Amino acid sequence: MKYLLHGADCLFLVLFQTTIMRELPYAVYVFDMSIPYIIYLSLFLPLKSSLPFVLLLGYFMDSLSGGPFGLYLSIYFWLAVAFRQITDYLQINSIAIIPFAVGLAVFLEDLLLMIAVSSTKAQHGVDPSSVPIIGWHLMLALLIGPLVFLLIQWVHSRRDLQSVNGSASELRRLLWPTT
Amino acid sequence: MFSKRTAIIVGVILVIAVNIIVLSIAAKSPHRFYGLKTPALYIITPFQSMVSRIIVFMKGIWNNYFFLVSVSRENSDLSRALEKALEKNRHLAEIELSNARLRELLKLQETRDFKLLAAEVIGKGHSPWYRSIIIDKGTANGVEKGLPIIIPGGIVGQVVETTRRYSKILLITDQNSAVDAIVQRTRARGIIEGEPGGGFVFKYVLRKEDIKAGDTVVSSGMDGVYPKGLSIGWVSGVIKPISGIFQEVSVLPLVDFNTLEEVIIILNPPKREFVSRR
Repeated sequence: MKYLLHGADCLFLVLFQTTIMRELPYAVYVFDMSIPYIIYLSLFLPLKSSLPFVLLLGYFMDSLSGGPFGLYLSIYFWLAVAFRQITDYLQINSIAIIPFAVGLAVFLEDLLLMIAVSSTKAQHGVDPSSVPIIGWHLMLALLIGPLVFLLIQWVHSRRDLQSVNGSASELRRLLWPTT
Repeated sequence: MFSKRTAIIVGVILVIAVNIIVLSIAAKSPHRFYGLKTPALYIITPFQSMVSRIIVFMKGIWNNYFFLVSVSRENSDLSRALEKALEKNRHLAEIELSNARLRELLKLQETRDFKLLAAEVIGKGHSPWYRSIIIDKGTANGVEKGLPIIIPGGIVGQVVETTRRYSKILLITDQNSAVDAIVQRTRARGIIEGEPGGGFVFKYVLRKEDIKAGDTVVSSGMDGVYPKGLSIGWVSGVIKPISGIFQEVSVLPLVDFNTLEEVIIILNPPKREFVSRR
């Protein structure tokens, strides 16, 4: 059940970014909302459990993007692995560090996407018009990123609580059917 | 022989190397991997279609009931009429120039009627680096890879992937898109390429060519994808460097890609066959 819900999370994130966010006039300046979710998965799930969802999310994003196949898959995979490793040395799950973690991940993603775009073009090099976009992504990641992360954390804690309550009442009903 | 740490480091380096190689292959020949993307389109596009319909419904309620019913309708009718008139005007200007040249050359060119199909935009790629949209028409409606997509305001993009009921369109604002184009007034030729900011750069235009801000850029029809004379954008800036053979021309799109809701697919574009000679 929990795995199904994580799969639904991935689908929701993809739908949110490709259908709902496109209604916003400046959606292009908003960072990739999958990043806080990937950080959340890396922090709260073991790598073995989080990796299938990270890869699923990357696969969905790759399929809808016009870029080369495997780009988002690779970026999300390495971000998840890196954040999992960092948590061994650093306590990331702190409100003071989360903005920087999201900001760093968004910056790395943009950097890798820019390198990928530049490598396929005839004239290599950074397009000057990309700089303001990266700037906006970074700024919004620092400001909104932690809020998105906290929202994901809140939704998941509520969901876990409900599943625990559900299991307890089910168990009680099975043990004491007459009460 | 090796410590566990060394083995992990070697393993990670190997995985990175394989990852880079696979990505390079995917970037150089993306068509090889289109088959891998299609299953996800089958999963996601029905949901996108559903959400899109809900959004359109909600927007419809807002626009038609809560926000000045008659004014909204009149405004949208007038906007549509103006858009049509502007496009017709651009089209007529193109015909006028074309006729003048043809009269001069005493040649007649065959005119072709396009078979058009309207489609609804149900999703949009999020990344500013790779720009794509998803439409609700696929192979069942006669859509094929490579077909040009337009709206009355100008060129939108090209079909890159299709399923039975849905298709993915690479927008011309994508950095990997290229359209052979000409300036309507002076016939100066170049290549239109997308920029991450949503504008275009008009490349390979000779320095000697006369281009001014405000000039309209249209498709030349030489790329074998887009028919001739379709609007692309207007020149927003021209820089003529002291040295070099090309000038730097910035172009802004005529199509508002942020508010794109419906598009038109040209099902029978003119085919240009390139024959190689030995």
